[in-house]
Amino acid sequence: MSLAYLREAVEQDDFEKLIRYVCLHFGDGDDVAGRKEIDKAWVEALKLLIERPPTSQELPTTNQDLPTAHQELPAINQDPPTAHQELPTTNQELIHELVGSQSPETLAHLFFYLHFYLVKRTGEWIHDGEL
Amino acid sequence: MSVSCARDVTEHAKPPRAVFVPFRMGHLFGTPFHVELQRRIILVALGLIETAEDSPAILDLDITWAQARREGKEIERLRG
Amino acid sequence: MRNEQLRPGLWQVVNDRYPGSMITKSDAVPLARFEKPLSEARLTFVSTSGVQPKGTLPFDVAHPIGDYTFRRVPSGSSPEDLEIHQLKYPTDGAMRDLNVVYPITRLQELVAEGTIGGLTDNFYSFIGYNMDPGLFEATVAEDIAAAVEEEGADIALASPA
Repeated sequence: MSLAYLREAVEQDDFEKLIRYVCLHFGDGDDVAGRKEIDKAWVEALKLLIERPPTSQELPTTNQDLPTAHQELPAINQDPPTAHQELPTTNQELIHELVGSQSPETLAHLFFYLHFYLVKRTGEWIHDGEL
Repeated sequence: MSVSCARDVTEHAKPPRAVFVPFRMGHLFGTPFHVELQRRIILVALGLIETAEDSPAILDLDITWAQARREGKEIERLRG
Repeated sequence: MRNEQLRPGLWQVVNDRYPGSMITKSDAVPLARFEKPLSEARLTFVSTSGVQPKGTLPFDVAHPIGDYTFRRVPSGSSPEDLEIHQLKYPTDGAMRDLNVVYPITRLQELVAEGTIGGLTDNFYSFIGYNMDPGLFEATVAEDIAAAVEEEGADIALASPA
């Protein structure tokens, strides 16, 4: 759509026109395909985060911090790390810093970029070129 | 001067000089390694500097996409 | 011989999907007469292909309203120095031979053999996905026009992707 068309849709609060534009963008002119791309990106994000919830334990940042079989085991009250605890969580501090320090426009821009980034990770890239 | 693969878009935009090539998007100058065709498109476009009499001057390149592809495939086959 | 375009009715299709986005002019751009022989002319190349020097900030293909910047591409570059960031046209040919969309090698050869007098120091590149024609004209179009003039171009070869 031309900008005039989009601005009019914003003024009239025409959600359908606006989401159709988003879907056209994500689907390279095919809004049905673009709708599916949105779902793909969210599912990919979910898959990446299933094993990474924030926890209250302080987790080691590298594998060198983990006790190995031939080393002395830690003191009795400490539990050895289990498989899912060996991996670091996501960088929540960065997220908070970013959201707190950047403009809403930059974060919205990032939101669009992350859509494409996540879709690319799925391996089901429908676009002709590269990010 | 400009090159175009969408004649209707060019007819709406009305640039002063344009060469229309009936090619696929992303292949305005022909097919990979088809040096002669790439040169020809450039030279035909540049030729419009002298031959265009009035704007818009849209010249059709005398080759089809099928022919360009055939020639391109043969060139790649010979490259090995 | 008049061949048909591979995607018939493209202007209408795009205008239906993105109402008001396609340019249509009532008057043609005037023809500028050119008296210099081609062998003495300095040429520049302007493209919407999103070709850019490696290491420069990638064109923003994620922004929903488009990217209103351009890149200077040194005209002495080889295809190996360049990369493409865009999403809206097939790059399978360009990935194998950049000259199918950005004929930089061909233009260098035409200068070397004396057919064209010379090239501007830089060529110009942007992406075609931008939904604000007014902003595009005020930024990319004006800036490239000024840059091309400053570089002393006699001829501009322009190409979409």
